[in-house]
Amino acid sequence: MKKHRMKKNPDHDLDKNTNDYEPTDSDDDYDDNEKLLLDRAKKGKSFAGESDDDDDDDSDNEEGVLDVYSSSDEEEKHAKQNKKGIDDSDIEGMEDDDDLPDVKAWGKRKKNYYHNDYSVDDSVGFSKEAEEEQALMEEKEARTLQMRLASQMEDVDLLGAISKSDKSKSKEDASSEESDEEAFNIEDEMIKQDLSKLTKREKLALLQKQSPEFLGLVGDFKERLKFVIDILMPVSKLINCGHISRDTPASRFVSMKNAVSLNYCINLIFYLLLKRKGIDIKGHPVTERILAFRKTLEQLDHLENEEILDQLKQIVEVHQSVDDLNSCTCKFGSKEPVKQKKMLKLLSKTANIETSNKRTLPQDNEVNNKKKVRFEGDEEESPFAKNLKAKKKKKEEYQEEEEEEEGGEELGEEPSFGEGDLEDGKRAITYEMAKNKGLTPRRKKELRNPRVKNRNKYRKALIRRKGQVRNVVTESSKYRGEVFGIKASVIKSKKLK
Amino acid sequence: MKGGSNVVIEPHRHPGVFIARGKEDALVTLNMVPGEAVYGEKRISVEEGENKIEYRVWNPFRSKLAAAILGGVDQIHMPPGSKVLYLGAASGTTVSHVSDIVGPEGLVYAVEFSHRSGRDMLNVAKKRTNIIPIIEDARHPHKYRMLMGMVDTVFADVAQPDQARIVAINAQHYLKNGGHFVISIKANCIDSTAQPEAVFAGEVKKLQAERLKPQEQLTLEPYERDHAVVVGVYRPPAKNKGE
Repeated sequence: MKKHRMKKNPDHDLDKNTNDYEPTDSDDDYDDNEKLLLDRAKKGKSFAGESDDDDDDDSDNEEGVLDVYSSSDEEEKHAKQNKKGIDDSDIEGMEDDDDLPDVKAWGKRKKNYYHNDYSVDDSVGFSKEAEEEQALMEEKEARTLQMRLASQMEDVDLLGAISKSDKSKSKEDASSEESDEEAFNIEDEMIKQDLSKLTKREKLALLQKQSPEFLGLVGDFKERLKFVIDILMPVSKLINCGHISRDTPASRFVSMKNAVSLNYCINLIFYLLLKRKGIDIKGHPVTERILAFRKTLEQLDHLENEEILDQLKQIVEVHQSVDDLNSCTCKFGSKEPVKQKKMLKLLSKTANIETSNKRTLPQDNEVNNKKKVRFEGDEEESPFAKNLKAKKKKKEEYQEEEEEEEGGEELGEEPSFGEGDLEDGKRAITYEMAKNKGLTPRRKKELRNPRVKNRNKYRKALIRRKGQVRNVVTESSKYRGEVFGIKASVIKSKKLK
Repeated sequence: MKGGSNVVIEPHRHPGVFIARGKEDALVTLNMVPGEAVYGEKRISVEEGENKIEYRVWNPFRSKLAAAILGGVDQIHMPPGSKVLYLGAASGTTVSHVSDIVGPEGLVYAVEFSHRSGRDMLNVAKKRTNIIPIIEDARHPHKYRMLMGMVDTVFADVAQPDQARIVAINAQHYLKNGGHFVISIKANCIDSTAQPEAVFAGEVKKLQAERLKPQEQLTLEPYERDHAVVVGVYRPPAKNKGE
């Protein structure tokens, strides 16, 4: 750009330079405004991450000033670029630190991002080393970008959670980062492939690649569901029926675990449904929910120990046998209390264990409490229900009142209306008050409508005028004389002064 | 006018004018030429001994003067024996009645510009010796000065916008001092846009400016629409202050 300008009027520049020639600092040729513009242009170029042109420009400038350049311009440029290609990385590294703006920031001009890069022809001279280096740089950049994206995903990492559970818990810290990186690599290489062509093993491998958490989740789902069906559901049923008392901590624990695991399973089912439809679950809220339930379940698992499990299993077995017995011989109802007593004994034992456990783990207790609060909140009446209840109550009251009144009437106590009016409140206002007539005089009906009033006025005026001025009549067939007679003495003329 | 013998003739307040009272009252004048009707009007003949007297019915729809008399004008200033200058004589219907009123001792100078109506008027004048027909423009009174003498009254029914001026010029020429004028004013002919009352007032003003002193004014309902008759005096004698 600048070069062109220089070339257009070299004579002028020469004249300028001959006056005060300083080959070392070409910027002196420009006044302040121009310098500012130049700086801006340079910055703009550096925004795009390409600082090469600056150097070129400078050298061109010098050469332009000297006016040495002629036809060999292009060739030398090429040579310089080749040279620069080698130590490009150094310069870039340096300038990345100071000149480049924030990576997240947008450039101001499209031009900074387009057509500023080397074209294919230009990059011919690049050595393999440089290419590799550039590739590495790009990769690094991409990775940082992805890291940032990942951190924005609200720390939802299913895979991490699953790997955690799969691996021993002592390795948790170490594994998290690894799993992160793995996830990114997998994401990078996500490509749509033709599934039908692959063998089963390949499919599995692909699945492992694309959604590594899937198999783990499915396994977990099966496990949990089985546990719920086998143990938790029957026990909680018993609790609900009243065979086992609800107030013991053990029964509370069982019902809660039942609820949580059921919720977890439902969310997992939804997740599976999403997978089935091929919807991308990345960033989907269901992952969050799954993770949360999983955490709570793990905490509950902490509380569990072999003893409780055994007892629960025992209860279930006993109950099943009782059920069988009941179904076979319904007559023997006397056996039930004995069984219940047995169960109660067992439960009291578990309760003791539970309490001891709770003392040892206060953190988990907090979680439990929270859950409880939540459940209690659910049990509380919704405002709608409250409304309904209030209405019902009112209705009942009203009915009662009516009944009372009827009773009163039957007794012959007629309610006095005067008292009723007074009780009801103020008397109604009278018609005069409502109309707010005040002291306005009574007016004729015809005065209400001005048109009619004027019509009447005109009619009356016509009647009056008939007496003053006679109507003009045309001559009848033949004049026979005055019908009304002639009074000679009458003088009707107006006297003029 | 029905009733035959039941009709009674009695004189009107104005000399020379009579009222025939029968089933219907009518204004009549003594026919100067008995047995002859001028415009097909009814005649009432009365026999007083040997003399046979005939009266003609005066139709107020065809004569402004008759309308004015029936309307109740105070004075017409045309007693028998007086000389009258009649401007706008037309066919001579009213002129014939005026000639009846002034009688054989009186004179009627009838001025009409239109030859067609003038011819009818001439026919009337042939039978009546007291009518002097003048076919001339009333705006130029000097043209008929050879025929004229001084008159007691000027009657004008010219229906022209400059009616007041015409009357004034004729009055200057032929009306004696203290003579009277009777003017019929048709409001539409003076100013068709203005209110009739305003037109009449304006004419009165003009007359006053010409030393014609209007004394009374009368509208001609129910016989004519927007017509007025103004009666006045010309150069009235100064009032005796010493009296």
